Amino acid sequence: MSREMVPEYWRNKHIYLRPKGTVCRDCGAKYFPPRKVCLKCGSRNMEEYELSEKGRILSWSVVRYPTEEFAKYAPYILGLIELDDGTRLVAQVSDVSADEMHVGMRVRLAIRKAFEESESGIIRYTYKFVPDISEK
Amino acid sequence: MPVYVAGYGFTKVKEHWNSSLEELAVDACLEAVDMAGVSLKNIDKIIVANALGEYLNRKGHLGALIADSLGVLNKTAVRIEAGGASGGMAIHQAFVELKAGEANNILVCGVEKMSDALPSAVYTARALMIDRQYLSAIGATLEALEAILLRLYLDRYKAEHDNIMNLAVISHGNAVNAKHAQFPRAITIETVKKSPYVADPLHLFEVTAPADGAAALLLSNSSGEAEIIASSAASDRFRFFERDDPLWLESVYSAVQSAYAQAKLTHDDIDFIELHDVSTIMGVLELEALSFADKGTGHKLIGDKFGDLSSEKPINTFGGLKARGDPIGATGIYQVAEIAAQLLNQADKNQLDNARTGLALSLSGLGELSVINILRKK
Ligand SMILES: [Zn+2]
Repeated sequence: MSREMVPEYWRNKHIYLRPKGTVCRDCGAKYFPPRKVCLKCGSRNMEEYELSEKGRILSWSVVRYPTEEFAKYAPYILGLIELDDGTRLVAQVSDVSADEMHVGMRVRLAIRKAFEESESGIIRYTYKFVPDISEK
Repeated sequence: MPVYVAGYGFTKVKEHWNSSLEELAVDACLEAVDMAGVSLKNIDKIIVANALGEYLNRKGHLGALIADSLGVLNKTAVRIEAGGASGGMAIHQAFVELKAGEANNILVCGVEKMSDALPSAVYTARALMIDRQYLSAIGATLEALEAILLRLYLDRYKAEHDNIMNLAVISHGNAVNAKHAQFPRAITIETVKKSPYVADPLHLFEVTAPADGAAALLLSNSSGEAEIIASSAASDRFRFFERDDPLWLESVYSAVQSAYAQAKLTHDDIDFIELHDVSTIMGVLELEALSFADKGTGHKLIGDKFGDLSSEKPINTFGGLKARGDPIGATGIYQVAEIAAQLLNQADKNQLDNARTGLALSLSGLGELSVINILRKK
């Protein structure tokens, strides 16, 4: 019973294609997702910034029972990632098999297909992470 | 004003193919009002707890729907949706109003009907409890996030996964004689291990199954033997990855500390606990945040024959979410109805000795919201 959510995608596309957070101009705290008010100091003086493109795997799982939108892509790997700037996020991890995954694994940002809204609908893209082979 | 459970009622948790959502709700409500001896016309307000009706049943506006189904008209009827904590939150709202003397009798009814939908719809509906934009829209499910917490826990604390699985074994053991339980049968660690992964490394037997069920409470400030002595709710960062420590359930901690303060007691005074064991790992993290185990040691407690009906601190006295079942919006109401049954000596073969004070934790998602209700025998 899924339905097209095209405006949702267009509104957020700039974040899905290049993850952005906010940094507090007053205390320097960094946030992902972006926020309008700093949780640490209460300042509303927030500025957008581009997150680090590299990080490491803190934990991961394999999605075997996905939501309807992702039905035809399972199984796929979902990781909890700590970026080099200290922020964390959850993203799919591609170009790697589950038995190659390990805690501490270095990964880098990649833009990949998320899912197709429907056969004739738009194709949504999103940030995913892949093993960073530029480092050992 | 004191708040008492004057009556409770519930259906068996199972697939009720021949009953609609509102029929299940009415069955539970009538049982509760009959036990309380309160006539329908003396009900001041109906609060309905339901989490997923829009998505699974294409039914909304459940306050008025269930009030009408029951034949209670011209009264306030409202529905509470707070994900997995809907049931606990509905009780909390009723508690606040009864305490303030704004009402004398409030009927609280939780209901969920999950068997009308395909399993893929159920996974989609459960994902409504987590963030859309940064989690479910990029492929996350609630179960996969619980699995991520499980692996983080195993890695950080060098914990044995077998010990964590034991929570499911304990819950099933406690459900064996529970007539209303979805799975009234014992299992072993092997059963859990042999079940497929729902999301690696979390097994299917470590999480709850889809279920239909309804439970109701007639809460009153006039009389009763089972009193709600504290009720408290707290929220946490909505996306768990932003929390200072993703393995610490701050909402549980905040809610329970405030409830302990309200009731002027500590965790030592709690005789038994109804956990929100939507998965084994969540149950372990909850025991730590509730102060029954130090941080990082919940797995040892669970691995150590903890929690069965004859133990010092029983948990999930009719099987908890895992074995009694988890009809999501109704679950928090089942928990408090079961505590009332224990306090009133109506728990049949599941009756605890000397059960005077029981605690129920109702939680949503990965602890984005938690509600604590504490009951004591008068
Ligand atoms: Zn700041």
